[in-house]
Amino acid sequence: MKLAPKLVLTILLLLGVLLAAGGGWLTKTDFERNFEQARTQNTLAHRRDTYSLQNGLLAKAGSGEITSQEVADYGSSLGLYVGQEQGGFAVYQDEQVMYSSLPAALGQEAACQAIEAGEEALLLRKAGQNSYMLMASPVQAAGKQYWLVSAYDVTNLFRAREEKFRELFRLELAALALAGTAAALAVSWMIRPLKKLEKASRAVAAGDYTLSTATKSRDEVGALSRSFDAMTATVRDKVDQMEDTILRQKQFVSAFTHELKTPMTSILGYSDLLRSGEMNPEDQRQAVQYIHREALRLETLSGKLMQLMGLVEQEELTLEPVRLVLVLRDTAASLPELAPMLDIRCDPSLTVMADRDLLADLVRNLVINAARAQPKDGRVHITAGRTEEGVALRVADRGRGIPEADLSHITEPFYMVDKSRARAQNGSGMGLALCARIARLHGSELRFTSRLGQGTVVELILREGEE
Amino acid sequence: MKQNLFTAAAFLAAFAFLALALAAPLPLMEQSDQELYTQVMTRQLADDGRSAQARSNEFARQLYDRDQLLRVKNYAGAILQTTTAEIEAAAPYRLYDFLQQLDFWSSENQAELEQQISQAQRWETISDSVGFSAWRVYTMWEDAEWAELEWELSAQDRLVRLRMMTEQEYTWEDLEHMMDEYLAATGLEEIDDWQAVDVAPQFYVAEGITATLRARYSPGAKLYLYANYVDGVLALGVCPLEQEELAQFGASLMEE
Repeated sequence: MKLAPKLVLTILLLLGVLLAAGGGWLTKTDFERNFEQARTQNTLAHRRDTYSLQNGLLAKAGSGEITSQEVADYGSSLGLYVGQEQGGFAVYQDEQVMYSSLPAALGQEAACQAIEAGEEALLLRKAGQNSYMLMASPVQAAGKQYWLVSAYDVTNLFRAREEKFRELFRLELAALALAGTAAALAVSWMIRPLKKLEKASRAVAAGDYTLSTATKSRDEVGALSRSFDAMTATVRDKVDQMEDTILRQKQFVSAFTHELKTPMTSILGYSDLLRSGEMNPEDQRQAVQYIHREALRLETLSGKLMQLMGLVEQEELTLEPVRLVLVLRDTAASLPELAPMLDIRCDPSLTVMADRDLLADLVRNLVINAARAQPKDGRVHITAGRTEEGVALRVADRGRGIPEADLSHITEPFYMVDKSRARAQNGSGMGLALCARIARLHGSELRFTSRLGQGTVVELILREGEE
Repeated sequence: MKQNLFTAAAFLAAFAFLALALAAPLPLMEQSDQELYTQVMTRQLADDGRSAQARSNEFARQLYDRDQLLRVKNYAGAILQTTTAEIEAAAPYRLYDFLQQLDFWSSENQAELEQQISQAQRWETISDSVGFSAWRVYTMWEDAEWAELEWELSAQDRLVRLRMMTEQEYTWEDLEHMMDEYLAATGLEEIDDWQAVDVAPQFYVAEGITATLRARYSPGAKLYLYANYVDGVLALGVCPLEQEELAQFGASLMEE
């Protein structure tokens, strides 16, 4: 069962039970109050009637003995003004009826029971459709004891109760119908955000993370909706990231396969030629040379790939204060063939927080790339200086520059702006990917500024350290 | 589809339960009625604050019932219907019968009373449904007509009130004795909470006039008993009175 009918049913059941209990209690207390009032009134009326009978009989006794006929006559005369329409009364002597205006349906047995119950008792008896309160009191006159038995019709009490119960029943039904309708409307309005949430959940389950519940209510459901929206946004971001990662992995595998295949094809081709044995010694020497060069490329590729994988798995580095000039000196020392091109301007006192070897690798790769850009002035400019952000290390060249469309991809593994030229220059497409990772491990990133035909500047901000 | 069927079934079950719950008082009322029809209940009167002792005393009950049922405080000052001495021939004897039970009622008292009745000029009487009857006799006193002879009796001929001119003088001891005997004769002595009441003479009793006032009050029976002798008039009687009313006419219960 859905939540809305469940809530409506619960409200109806609770209200129904409350109404039933309340209605029952109201009917009961109302009847009891009316019954007590009737009991008091009828007790008073019976006492009054008893006095009347006693006086009447005493008046008769004044003239001597009271005959049965006199009692009956007095009863009749008394009956003229004692409300017979509300019941009636009877006068007994020694269990003999002297006079009776009691309803025939009550019977003599009921009157005898009232006499037996005594002068303080009150009986309730049903005769036909009517109910009567019965009371009996003794009356002494002329040395004889008579009993006055009065019956008071209290049928109206019971009828009033039944009528009240019927009215209440109708009212309760109407109240339940109204409450049910109101509850259905209110519940439907209250669970509207939940329905939105359910719809959004279904969409998420179907892979659509764009749907938002956008609930404005401030209650728990509203909070749940907002949490759900936040969750779907996070999932959407994660999915986007994952899709991006998968795409990049695909591109990586594709590029890697391609980079692997090219030297392998050359090696296989030249080795087939060598196996045929039909080559002259010069061609053989050249073939071996090709095979050796491609093997070297493969080795370089695998080495860089391993280094990148190692850095990718590494979460953070232990950085220590390093004098930047020493790093640049290491770089220059590791590239003796490029040393004449280097124009290094660095305050010898500048110290940065870095891993000396990795930072030297980063600068080396940037210098190699700058040198491959064939700078017009034949120089690679390395400068370092303090800025508001930290220590800025820049590697610049006045070479061919990088097209703007390629700038955002150049740090991807195996990405080469000009593949044929890069391969010719023994490039693997892994250098800038390594640099970007090293920069990230130093809490920084590479910023490229480039113009075609004018050159490229790569900037890296490092945290200044103290020796 | 299955869920809709289940929901419909649940609603039907709930409606059935609600119908049963709303109709549940019916069998309960039936059962309660059966108990009412079979049990013996006690009669009930609104709580009047009277003691059980007072309720069980017949004369006290009659006095109080008359007060409550007929709402008649007493006949003193009431307009009585004129009647004749012939019709009321037996009335004085009912009074004599009661008075002769009392020791204090001497032959002189009796003779004085009979003389006043014999000289009656006009009779007035009234009765009520509780059986109480009152008489007022306009009689001669020193050649002038006086209406000072009044008495009231219950259906059982118990004196409720007597007011007569007398030549005798009564001390407060006489009046106390009179009240003791009166209580014994009427059966009101069964009520054991009678307390003396401090009564001050009313403002219209002039100085120099003999005024001896004695009274008692029973809080349990809410009855006020009085025996007064003021300027040659003897008044003896009992009447229902709420304690608040007692305070209104300047009387207060005396400490034991």
